[in-house]
Amino acid sequence: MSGLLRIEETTVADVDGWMLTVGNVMRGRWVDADGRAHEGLSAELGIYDAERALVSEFTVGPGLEVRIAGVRWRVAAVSPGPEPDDNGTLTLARLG
Amino acid sequence: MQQFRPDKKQPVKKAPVAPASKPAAPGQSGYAAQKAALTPEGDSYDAQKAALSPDVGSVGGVKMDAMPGGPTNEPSRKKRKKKKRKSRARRRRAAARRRAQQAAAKKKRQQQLQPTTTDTTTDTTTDTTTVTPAPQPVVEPTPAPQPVVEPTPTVEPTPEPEPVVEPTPEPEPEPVVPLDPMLDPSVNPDPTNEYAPEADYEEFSGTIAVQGEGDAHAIDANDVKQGSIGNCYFVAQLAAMAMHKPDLIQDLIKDNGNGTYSVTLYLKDKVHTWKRSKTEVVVSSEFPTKGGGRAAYAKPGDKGSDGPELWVMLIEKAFAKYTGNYEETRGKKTKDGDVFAMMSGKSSGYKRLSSMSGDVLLRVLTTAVTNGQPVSFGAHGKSALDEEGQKGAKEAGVVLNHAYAMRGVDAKARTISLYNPWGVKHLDDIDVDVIKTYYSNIKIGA
Repeated sequence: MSGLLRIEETTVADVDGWMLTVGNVMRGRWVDADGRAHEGLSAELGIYDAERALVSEFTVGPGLEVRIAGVRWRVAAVSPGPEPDDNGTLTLARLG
Repeated sequence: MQQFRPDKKQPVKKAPVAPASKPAAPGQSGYAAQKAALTPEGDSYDAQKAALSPDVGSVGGVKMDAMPGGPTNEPSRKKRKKKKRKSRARRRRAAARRRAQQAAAKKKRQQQLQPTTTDTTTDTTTDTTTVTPAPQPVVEPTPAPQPVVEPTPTVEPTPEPEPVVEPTPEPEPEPVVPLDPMLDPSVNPDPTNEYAPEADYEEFSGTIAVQGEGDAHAIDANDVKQGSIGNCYFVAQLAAMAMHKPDLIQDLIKDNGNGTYSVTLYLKDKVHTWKRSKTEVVVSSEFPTKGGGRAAYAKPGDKGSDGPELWVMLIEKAFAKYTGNYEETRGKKTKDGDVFAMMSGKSSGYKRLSSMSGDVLLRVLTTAVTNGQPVSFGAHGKSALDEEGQKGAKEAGVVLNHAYAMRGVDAKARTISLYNPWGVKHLDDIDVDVIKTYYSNIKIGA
């Protein structure tokens, strides 16, 4: 898999058989890997294992790190859609 | 009798002897030439007269004044008669020679013109009329061209088979014409989109439907799992239809037994878009993946002994084939948002929730469930809510700008349950007022 993973809002991505759901790209609050709180454009990320069991669901924003199927990823960007009601995008960067 | 007067200058007459073979004048032809050449009297009437008349001062080109004894001399009369006889005999011989020469010339000419003609004894009169065929000498060398002509027939057989071959390919294209891309399983829609630019096709060996654990039917809503493209309106309606009319979906798909499937959909006419036509779309069991054999878009359903169930992937691919690519199946770009009608051929009803109370909504939904009608819900777009509203939607577990299938309604409890086409994060027993706050519309299939 390449280093960057772009996921469209309201869709589902597959990472090594795990499901990543992305919704509600909107203004929100999140905490980065260093424990610092941020507020800005965020996304709601759901992580499900290969059995479709919920692993975690939380609000993410740039700088936040997540572990998916044992691999660390960093949120590279959360982008709005071209129009207010268009789907936004969550971009993850693979770290390990 | 006239006297010879030496003081009078006498014109010198030409001898009446005509040339043995006088050629015809260049401009003289046909009968005139023949007459001029063959008249037995000589070159002309005047010449003949001058030659034979006793009153003329010369006979046969001999001047009379050179005769001894003068014109009245008796012995000279006998001599003149004798000369006349000789002269006639000469003329006869000359005429005979001319005729012989004419005959020889004619024979030679005929040999040149018509070597095969046996009529060499033709009369001179007819000979004059046969001079006309001037171009024939060009034809005479034809015996030589014969060997040239011979190879021609050997060439002719070559073009002969050509017209036989030509009509053969003409009917051949006709059977090719019905090869509608919709019926050609080798024609796959473009598998890529902005979020899956590297997507490519891989084979999925499976079956149409499998009744997995907890399924009411082989075709079941929990088989629906959206993939990496924003076509939630499409898969949500598939899930709703699977809840209420699984047999209808089952009948839409036929396994052709050769790795291909025929999917029958009621597709919009591309010109008259209000019309739908029952259309068979043949697709292969190749589906887009992003590598590693995992489907990029709709996911396989339950696993069976013959492999995973493919019905959601097959219908999604058939629609992508109709649009030409997966990209145009997304809600933002689709030309056909009525997936219920696409499957049943009957248009669905569309209602805005803002136009009805909670009680009316519950009554409408209850009626639909009683009638076995599928229902889908559309959540608000983000622009319809302020920041607080968006935060409330998130806390209620609602995904904005997303579509769901209704899987239950409880009019007494005033709650509604929704199926998320992700296959996870469903909403159960949500109060009708919450629904009315975060959802904008419903679609009810026929």
